[in-house]
Amino acid sequence: MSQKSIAEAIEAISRVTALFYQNRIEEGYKELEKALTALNQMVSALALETREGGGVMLDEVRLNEILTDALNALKDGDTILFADIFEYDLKELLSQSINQED
Amino acid sequence: MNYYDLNMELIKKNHDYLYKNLIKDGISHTNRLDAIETVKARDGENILLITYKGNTYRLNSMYRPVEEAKRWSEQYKFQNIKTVISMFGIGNGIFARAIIERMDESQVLVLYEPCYDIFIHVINNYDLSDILSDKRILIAVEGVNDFEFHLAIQSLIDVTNIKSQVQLIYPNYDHIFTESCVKFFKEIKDSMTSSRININTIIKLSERSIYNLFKNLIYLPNCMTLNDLKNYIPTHLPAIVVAAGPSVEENIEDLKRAKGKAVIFACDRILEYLLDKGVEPDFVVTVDPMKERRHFSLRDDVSVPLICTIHANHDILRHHVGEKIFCTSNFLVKEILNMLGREASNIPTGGSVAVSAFSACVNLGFKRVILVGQDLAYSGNVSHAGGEVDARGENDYILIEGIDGNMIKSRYDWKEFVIEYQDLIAVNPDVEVIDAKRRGARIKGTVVMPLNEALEQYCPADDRIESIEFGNRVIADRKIIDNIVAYLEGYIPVLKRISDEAETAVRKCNIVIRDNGRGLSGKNINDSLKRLKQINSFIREQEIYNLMDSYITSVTANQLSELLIVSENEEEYNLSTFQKSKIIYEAVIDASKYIMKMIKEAIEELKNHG
Repeated sequence: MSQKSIAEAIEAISRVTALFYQNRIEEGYKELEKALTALNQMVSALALETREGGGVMLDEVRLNEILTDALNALKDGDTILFADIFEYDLKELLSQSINQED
Repeated sequence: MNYYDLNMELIKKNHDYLYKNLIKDGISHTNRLDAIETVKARDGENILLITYKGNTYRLNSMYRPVEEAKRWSEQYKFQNIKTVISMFGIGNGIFARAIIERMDESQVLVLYEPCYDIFIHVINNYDLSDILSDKRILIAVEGVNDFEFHLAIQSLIDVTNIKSQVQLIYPNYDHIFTESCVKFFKEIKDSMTSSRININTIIKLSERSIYNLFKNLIYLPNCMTLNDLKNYIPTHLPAIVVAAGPSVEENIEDLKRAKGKAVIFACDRILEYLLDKGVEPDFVVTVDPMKERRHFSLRDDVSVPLICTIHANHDILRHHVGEKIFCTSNFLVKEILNMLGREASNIPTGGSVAVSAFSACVNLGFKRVILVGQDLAYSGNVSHAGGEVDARGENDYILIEGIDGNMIKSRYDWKEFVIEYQDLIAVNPDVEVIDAKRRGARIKGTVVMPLNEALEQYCPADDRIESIEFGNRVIADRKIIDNIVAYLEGYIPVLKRISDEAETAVRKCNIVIRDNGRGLSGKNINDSLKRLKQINSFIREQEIYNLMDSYITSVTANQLSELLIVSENEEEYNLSTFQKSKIIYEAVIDASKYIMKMIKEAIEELKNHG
């Protein structure tokens, strides 16, 4: 369950970063809304599984750091830095979580 | 060797004009940055950080800049042949490289850097040797060689690629250098307009140009060239180019005073008006293949020496009784003049006879040229001297900058002429150009000064000439005429062969088009393409093809403009290529036959030449 939601979140992130890298800012923001929903669903799924005593382990501290950095980049209007953080830091963290479970 | 030396050596070798301007003093720095530095990205790549107007911008990804550029470039497709890609911003070259990776050999990348400081920083701190060595790339830096950008864009766009232009912006550059970005796109838009006007001009004039060329050959044996004229022209005096704008009327008395103190060149349309008012110019200039006689002079005794191109309207040349001075140097005229022991000369001929007259003055060696009646704008609804009203002045006009800085009513073609003037003035900095009008379009590079003041200042009363004498010249004898006839006859079999080859090509195209529905094999298509390629090479190698080219363009502009646009669907693309090619080959056949007919007529006329 959580693995699927992580994979979906990664896909959603890729769509956002691709648009920001192509300087298609408006479309990127629209896609970001969807990505945030996917991330929300992922976190809910992880929390549920943790409560049930299983599932994927995610470094929550690191996740918070990454999201804070990303938010700051957005505040500065730096969509490339935001894309970099999502593409390399966040996706890496999420991929690691999936791999850990494997 | 450090980066600066390495890059500068390659700029010197491959971008001569840029190099000369870079090392020249007095470069105008249009975008002085507060700070610029190179820092390391996480992957070790060098990236740029700039501070401009108090804001700091990072011009590359802080993580993986090359990957960022690659992803950015993936949104663009450069599948059409001969595409011109214009990019606003060079930065440290990483984005340009991502584009270059995706280009084919036929395509050109024009890089425009709006910030001199960035360019200088980059050539000091980055290895740009791959970009600087690539023959497909042109580089322009604002304030250094932006004029080259203007010329490059104009010369690279033609009928075959006008529909497949691509413009790119280095991410963020449009926000940082907004004013320059507007300028960049305006330049491209203006160039596209120029190209469209050129194409329309070719469409409109090509057949008539060929007709005039062969009809006017008869005048070559007794003509002068602009080069010959140099021997007789007092270039220490100013030249006055009189165009046909409404403001000529208010300068008539001064033009009468100028006679003998300056050399007066009248543009075709204003001749009659000047003669009516008692001003006999020293020369009259005509270049338009379709200029109507009523817009020149309906008199049959005009003896004012005529400066013209070989393509100028034969009807005008036929009725003109004075000296004819040619300024065309295509291969045919060049060769014939060579047989006559003369040297051909050439002037650029755009759409404006006045610009051509100005070019002729520059070519002759005048160092001071006064423009009269070059309004390039409406005076109310009046477009030309003599009160000629043009309805477009009421409802189909554009606004351009006037000499007083206010916007004034003008036309698209006049705006083009302003640009043509400005280009010519820019490449001839040693020629002083005075614009003697009190209203009208601003021509950058000219000094605005009323004609009476210009005459006071530059035409001293004691320095005057009564008339310009041309002296005696050797007139061509029968033997030379026979040689010219033999030379022209030599083209008949060549044209016949071109026509035969084009007919073979049409047959090949027909077979491919017919068999298309039956699923033609790749081998058959390749064989046909190979044969067509051979035919194309043969046709293009023929000197006479230079004359056919504009004729073919005129009747196949639609096909030519789409021939190099590559479709995603290969089968569809192949079929469409053969369909368009067939129409073009048919035009080649028509052009060959038409030129053959005109050559035969010219031969007959030369044989009867007295």
